[in-house]
Amino acid sequence: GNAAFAQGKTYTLKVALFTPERSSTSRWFKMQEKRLAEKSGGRLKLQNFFGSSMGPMPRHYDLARTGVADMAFFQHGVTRGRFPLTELFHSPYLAPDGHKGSLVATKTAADMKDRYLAPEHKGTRLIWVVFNRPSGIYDASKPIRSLEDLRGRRYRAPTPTDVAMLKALGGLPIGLPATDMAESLQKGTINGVITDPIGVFSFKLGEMLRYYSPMFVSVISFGLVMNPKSYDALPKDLKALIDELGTKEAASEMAMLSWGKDFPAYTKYMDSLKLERIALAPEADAAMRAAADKVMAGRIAEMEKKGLPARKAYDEMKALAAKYAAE
Amino acid sequence: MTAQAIGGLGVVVLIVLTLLRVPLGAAMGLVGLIGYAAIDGWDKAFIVFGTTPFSLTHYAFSVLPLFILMGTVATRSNMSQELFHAANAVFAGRRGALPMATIGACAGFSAISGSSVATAATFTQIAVPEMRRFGYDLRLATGSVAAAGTLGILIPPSVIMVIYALAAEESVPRLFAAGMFPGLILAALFMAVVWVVVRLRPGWAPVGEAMPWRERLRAAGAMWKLALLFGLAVGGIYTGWFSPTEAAGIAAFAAIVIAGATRQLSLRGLWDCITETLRTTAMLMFIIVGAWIFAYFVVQTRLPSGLLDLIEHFDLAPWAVIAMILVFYIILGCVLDAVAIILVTVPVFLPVVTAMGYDSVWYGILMVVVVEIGLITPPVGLNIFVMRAQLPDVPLGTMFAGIAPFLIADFVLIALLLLFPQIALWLPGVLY
Amino acid sequence: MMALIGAAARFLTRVAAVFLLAMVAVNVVDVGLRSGLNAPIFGAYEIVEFLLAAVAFLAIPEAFLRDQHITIELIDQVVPQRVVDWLRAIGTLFALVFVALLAWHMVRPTLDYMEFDEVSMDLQLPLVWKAGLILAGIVASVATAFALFLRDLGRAAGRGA
Ligand code: NA
Ligand code: NA
Repeated sequence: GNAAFAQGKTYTLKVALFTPERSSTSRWFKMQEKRLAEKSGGRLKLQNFFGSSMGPMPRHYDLARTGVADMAFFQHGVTRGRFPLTELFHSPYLAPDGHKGSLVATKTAADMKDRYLAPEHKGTRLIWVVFNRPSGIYDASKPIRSLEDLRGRRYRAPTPTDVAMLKALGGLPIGLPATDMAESLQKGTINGVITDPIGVFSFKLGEMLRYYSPMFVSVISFGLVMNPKSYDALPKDLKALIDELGTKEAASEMAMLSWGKDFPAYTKYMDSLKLERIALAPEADAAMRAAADKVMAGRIAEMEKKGLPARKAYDEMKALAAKYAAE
Repeated sequence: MTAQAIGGLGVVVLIVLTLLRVPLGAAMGLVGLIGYAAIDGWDKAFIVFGTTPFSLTHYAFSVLPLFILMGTVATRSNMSQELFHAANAVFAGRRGALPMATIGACAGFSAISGSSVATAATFTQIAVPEMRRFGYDLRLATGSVAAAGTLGILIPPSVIMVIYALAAEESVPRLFAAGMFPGLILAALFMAVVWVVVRLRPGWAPVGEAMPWRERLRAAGAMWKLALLFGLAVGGIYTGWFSPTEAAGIAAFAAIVIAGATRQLSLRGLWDCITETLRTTAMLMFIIVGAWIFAYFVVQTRLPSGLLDLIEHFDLAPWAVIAMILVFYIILGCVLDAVAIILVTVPVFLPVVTAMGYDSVWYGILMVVVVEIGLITPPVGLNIFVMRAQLPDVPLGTMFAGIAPFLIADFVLIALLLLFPQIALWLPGVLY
Repeated sequence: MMALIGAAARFLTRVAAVFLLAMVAVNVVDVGLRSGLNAPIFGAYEIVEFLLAAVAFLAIPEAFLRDQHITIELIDQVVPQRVVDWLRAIGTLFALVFVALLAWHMVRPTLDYMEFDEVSMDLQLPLVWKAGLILAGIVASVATAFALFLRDLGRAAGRGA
């Protein structure tokens, strides 16, 4: 009957990705394409559309929401205002520096997914939220050791929180598309960038940068969502395979493939650079953390006014992140 | 029907519709919509269709109206005329002086104008009457203007390069830098063509009077406006005063200031420049909306991966594939407009070309050269049409005959680019 | 009616002209402030993108009225003028159908920008403003494409009679 027919049918899911096929973030998706085909006996096929080929990057979330794609890998920050609680993860000093930070934030988000994050992914089924490595400030010409050094420096800041931090500390945030960073650095229209180390690699900024200071340490989130109708159309056993994609382990695997240690091309590139790591003066570090608290307090108060459980979510986030950082 | 078959059919229908006079933007948009629906259903097709116009206001796109504005202001304020007289002074007294001056002036003007059609139209008004007056053969007169006009999109800034950059997600400044040397080489090759032609057909080009050096210098001095604009744009970018994207705004502003300060442009004239710029930009935008919808359809057809499978199946060498693509483009260039060629074919061919290991900036320059050829080949050549509109008494046959020798220069440049990709890639490598 | 459509199209072009001048000004002022006083305009590129929406779309209606959209006119040399007139009318009908469908299907995404309160990255400008400018250009194009179609149809039918 019908069930047997459904058993034999093959399902093809179109996945929209903004990342190019050869980027590290695409590796997990290629892996799943193989895995799902094997596990389903060829009945579940992922068709990955890399490099924004299904639509422009800022519209990736909507590609899945409207059903143009069955799944979409997207960046929360490019559609400002739509994912306020998820954006809390972009707060400074949430996760430790390095690839561990990516893992800590990803695990934290997995724990908070059902209660806080999924509800604000309206019109889609949230599979996971993952994070890049925490960012720092990369300066082209000046080692930043103190607040005085930071004053008047022009940086491209990736998130509204980083913009607020820079403004609070006397730096000058410059708005730029990410693709214009290299050009602007080269010409000196900006003095540096706030980015994660993988960003230095993928946008090929290394030759123009000289000093790295671990300041503002914050992560950026990326999500994988599925169109609810596409999910409902699947038979039970295939739904289970999709559910497996959304576990804490699967999300961690994705984060580590994208921003983890096993990334020879990245390591080779970074080793070839003359980047100097600058130690921040302790009082400057303390001042920055204080500024971060103030910025976040303001943001949370704003969100609470709109009726969002920002305070509760933020406290829980901090506690969970501290727990995973200690592991 | 497979998605790839639908894709192939879509391309054929598109070409037929455009040949039946359907406006390009509408033809691409509707074929894209119906093709997408045939593959993925109407609901999804209409969502993609309706959201596309909102995605086309990239920051990088802002250089398009700004560079068009600069070129329009430069034309209206007689900068092109002054440039022609200056170039003329340099070559005065040689056989073929005026066509050579035309090529030199077009190359110079190309440094501030992003459009080949505008460059050809401008110099049709300035150079052709002058060459007629001195008894040049009409074939040489019109051929040199039509060919030299194509430099407008190879020497930066270039509207076509901006459109390619958007379609290919490449960097506009890198492409601009890559066009510099091929553009200068092509200008030199065009001059070589004139040199050969006037030796083989001395009757085509009378020898004019030589000019004393003092006078030559004085005339060449009239190039200062252009030199100032170009120096400001390049110098400002180089010293980090502004970014290449901002340079478009600065240069447009500077052109307006220079034209106003030298009393070559009234407020009324400025207003005309602005509305003309807007209509040109709007016309491009209309085509771009259609082309983007068509491109999303092409993605769904998986046509590029089908082409790659074919290449693998027949075990073709990469250079053979490039050669086939070039022949296809030159045929397409006979009947399609430059913007359309870029927008229709980049989604199909670029993934194939980059998968074979070629550089997309290099490929972009190659594209610009082949669409340049399309601008001057029969039966559809936009440069020829704008010239014809201004010279109604010159038969089209005369113009095409005059252009033929200059096509050799284009083919030499293509060969050079295939043999020495560094011609295009060296400068962007040094700058970025 | 035609006069009204023409006036509306010219008005939109004028609005776009102001936005184009503003675009030049933003670039000049931003570069000047940044290099002169190290005080760049925050979010200048976002302002440029908003202005671009008007610059690129608001003149499309007038481009229609002036019949400036790129068409391949190769066939004019092959077939009689009467056929050309009919082909021209049919081509304009294609353009009319295209912009009409476009306008209709752009309404939903415009409302989405409002519903999701989406704002720009740096300046938090509501994206629905930008979407509204783009939609306005396309909606006005429907009117001018319609006017052009009536004219082309009249011309073709007139010659046929
Ligand atoms: Na040019
Ligand atoms: Na042609």
